[in-house]
Amino acid sequence: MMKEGIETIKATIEIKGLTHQFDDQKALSEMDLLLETPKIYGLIGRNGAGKTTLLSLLAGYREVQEGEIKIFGEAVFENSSVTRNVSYHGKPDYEEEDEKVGAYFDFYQRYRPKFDKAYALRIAEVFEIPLDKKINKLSQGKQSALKGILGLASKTPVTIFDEVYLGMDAPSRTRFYKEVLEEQLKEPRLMIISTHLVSEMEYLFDHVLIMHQGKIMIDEPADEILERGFAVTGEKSQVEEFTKDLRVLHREALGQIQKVIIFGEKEKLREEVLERLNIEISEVSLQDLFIHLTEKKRDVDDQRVKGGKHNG
Amino acid sequence: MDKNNRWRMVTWDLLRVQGRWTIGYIIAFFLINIALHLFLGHLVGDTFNFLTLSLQSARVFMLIIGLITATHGTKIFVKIGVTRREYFCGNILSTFLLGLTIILSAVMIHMGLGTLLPGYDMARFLTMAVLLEGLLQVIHFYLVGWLIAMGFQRFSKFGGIAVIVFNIWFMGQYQYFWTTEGVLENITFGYSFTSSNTSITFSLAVIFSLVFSFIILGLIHFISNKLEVQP
Repeated sequence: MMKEGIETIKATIEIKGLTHQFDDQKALSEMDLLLETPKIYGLIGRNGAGKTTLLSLLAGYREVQEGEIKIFGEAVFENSSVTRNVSYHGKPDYEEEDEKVGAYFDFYQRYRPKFDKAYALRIAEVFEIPLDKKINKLSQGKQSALKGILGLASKTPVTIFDEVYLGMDAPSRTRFYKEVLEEQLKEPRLMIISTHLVSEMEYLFDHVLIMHQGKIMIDEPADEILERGFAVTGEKSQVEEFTKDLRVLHREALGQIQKVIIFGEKEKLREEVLERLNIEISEVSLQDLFIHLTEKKRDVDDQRVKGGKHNG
Repeated sequence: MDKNNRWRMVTWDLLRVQGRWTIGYIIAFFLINIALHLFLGHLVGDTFNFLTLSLQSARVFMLIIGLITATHGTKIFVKIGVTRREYFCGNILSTFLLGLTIILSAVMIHMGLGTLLPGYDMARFLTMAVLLEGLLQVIHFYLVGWLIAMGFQRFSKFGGIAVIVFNIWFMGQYQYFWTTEGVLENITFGYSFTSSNTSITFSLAVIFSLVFSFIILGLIHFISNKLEVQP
């Protein structure tokens, strides 16, 4: 899915032909991708789609097996000038970390050249994280918040959040999202946010990447992808007539009323047809698009069969 | 400290943590020996003295902290942007400095006991040969712990056990240069502070020890330079 014509010089991250395998299971398959600064990328995918494998390769946690990853034009693995500028923040893994929070900020600051300790201290207070407490004694939620704080305060040009918010409660997550947006306004950088909480976070994303079975399925600006998806609701025969040439992601029926989710062909909507048929067009959330785009084909077919039987 | 010399920062940070453990170990070992001496008087006489006892136990201590440090250290440092190579270099320097700290602490306590305890034979073991061998041995044991931890991380359970088996054999070879006893006996009990093997001079034993330690270092580098870190 390499985009022709994009000036690669703008790309902070350049991925070509990336393939990665664990034993006999392919986690990533011939992936091409360009990511640019400053943007917030939402990386969405089902469990096992290959998100964490991709992100850990970007962070230099693993060596590339096949293909290449370049960040700022250089290979990542074992390249100190790159790895110091790329930070990955995943689920809390502080079982063995008996350093106190305040001391850990000092330790972190030594290795992250742009780490803003004053900012870290300020938001630690907002998240009510006690600086004099050992990190492994913090609750799961506070440890997650600490990961988020380190990511934001690190100010690394490439900052990766891999479901970092999972242990946080709703108010903390909301606060975290707010900080993400404020930081991006103050000091724009390339952020990649991997998430399952699509509906909660979609407003953060400038650009959406949907991963499926080790490949990038969708790589589009967030507003464009939302424009391409829509739902059609109406009487079954009319909806079927209207959608017969369109790409149907999902069908559901209630009696004679059918709702269909369409992706990618809004230009085919014609006013005269819409007026003739008594159907309603509505927006679809990114979460719904993600769910139905990554649904197994068999599942979609099953839905069709169910819909047909139900109404027949 | 220059932030471009990241391996030296790694050295400093490792020493900070390991230094705390080492101080705890030295204090605990000192108190145990003083307590034993008060009841048994074991520090006075031909058999035991604080220096030789502490250097023996320091090997086990270094083996354990080599294991612990390598098990968690690589992951921690790679996650804050340090390369495996920088961690490797930083850890080598910290190992040397830690070994030196232990030897010097043991010597100072040994000298202190020599002044305070009547009948304590301070001079007999306080030679450059003893100190050099002690330093080489504690460093070697740390490297062995490091190698075992890397073996488990890189090759999982069975690979790790294979690395342990290799190390037992390798340490047997290593100890040969410092003793004349049987290999297994050496690993369990044996420890001589100057080579009594008449066919091997002290300087040759030092050279072979260094060669063995460099082989271990080479293996650690080989195993860890592409080590995967779990996110």
